[in-house]
Amino acid sequence: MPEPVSIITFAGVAVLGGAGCLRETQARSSGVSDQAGFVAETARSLVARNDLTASIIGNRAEVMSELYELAGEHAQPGWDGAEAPAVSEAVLERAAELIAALPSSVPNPELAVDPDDAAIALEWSNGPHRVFSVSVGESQRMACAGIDGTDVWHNVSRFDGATVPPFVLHGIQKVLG
Amino acid sequence: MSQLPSGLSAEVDGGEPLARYCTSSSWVAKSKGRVKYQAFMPAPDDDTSVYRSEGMSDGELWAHADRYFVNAEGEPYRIHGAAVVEASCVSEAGIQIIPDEGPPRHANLRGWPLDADLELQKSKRKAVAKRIASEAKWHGKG
Repeated sequence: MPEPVSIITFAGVAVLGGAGCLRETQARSSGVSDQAGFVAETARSLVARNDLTASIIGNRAEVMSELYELAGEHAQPGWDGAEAPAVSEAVLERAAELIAALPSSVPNPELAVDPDDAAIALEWSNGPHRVFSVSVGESQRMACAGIDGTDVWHNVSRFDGATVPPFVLHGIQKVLG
Repeated sequence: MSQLPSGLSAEVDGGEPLARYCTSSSWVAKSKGRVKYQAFMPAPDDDTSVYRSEGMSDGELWAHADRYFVNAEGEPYRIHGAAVVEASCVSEAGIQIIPDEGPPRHANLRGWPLDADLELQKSKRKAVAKRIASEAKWHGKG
């Protein structure tokens, strides 16, 4: 009986080895569950695109493993008790790219899934009244919003897969101080 | 003042607490107890479903969810807790609170920003939801 890919196993290997861990997951993946197959397929596509180097993944290993676990937990439509769609593979890949593109000076974001369109939100906060987030959806355009005390702002920024938009970096800096 | 089947007033008072059941653990920053904006973002039907929780203990909140926050087969959704916010915070953010008693105590948060550009619409809605979430308190379920 083929061994299913365990998300916990994937996360543990990710801490150790960067891109190598993705190849390991790809090679071992013969998961019997939809969730395992979802993770394995995404790992395969990331390795094939060769966009994520071992060093980048190594620096963001913890949040990357959290990202894949989050996507797995929201893999079925209606997870919000209403009409929320499932997180798609494309959204997962794009979120991973954005995380990998963050400068090393930027702390790891908190992650969440938006109930309206299953976008993955990356969020930075310094208390409940200083929060900035960017939602990674199906397109390159990302809905951003921030709150800093009574000051509230929003924008749409475009991510090309490689360079974090200046508006996003500015928003992070504004709330983290 | 007219009354609803639940016995609550048809008009929502600004001091009333509104509970939003959270079906994703990612909607709260657990280590800080901070409610995230996703808890209040509208569903694709443009409404955010809440329950008027005046006078309810946490245990009563969960029992209410078990009975009324259910899927088409009548099975309760798995909830991680509830984000509770005062009605005045919602109104001040420009959102209407519309009692809608199919389930007792149920209301919809309605009137979210609209824009022909869907990403821009979403960014506007996120800003409003952030404002509401910043005033909400997290009630974790076990």
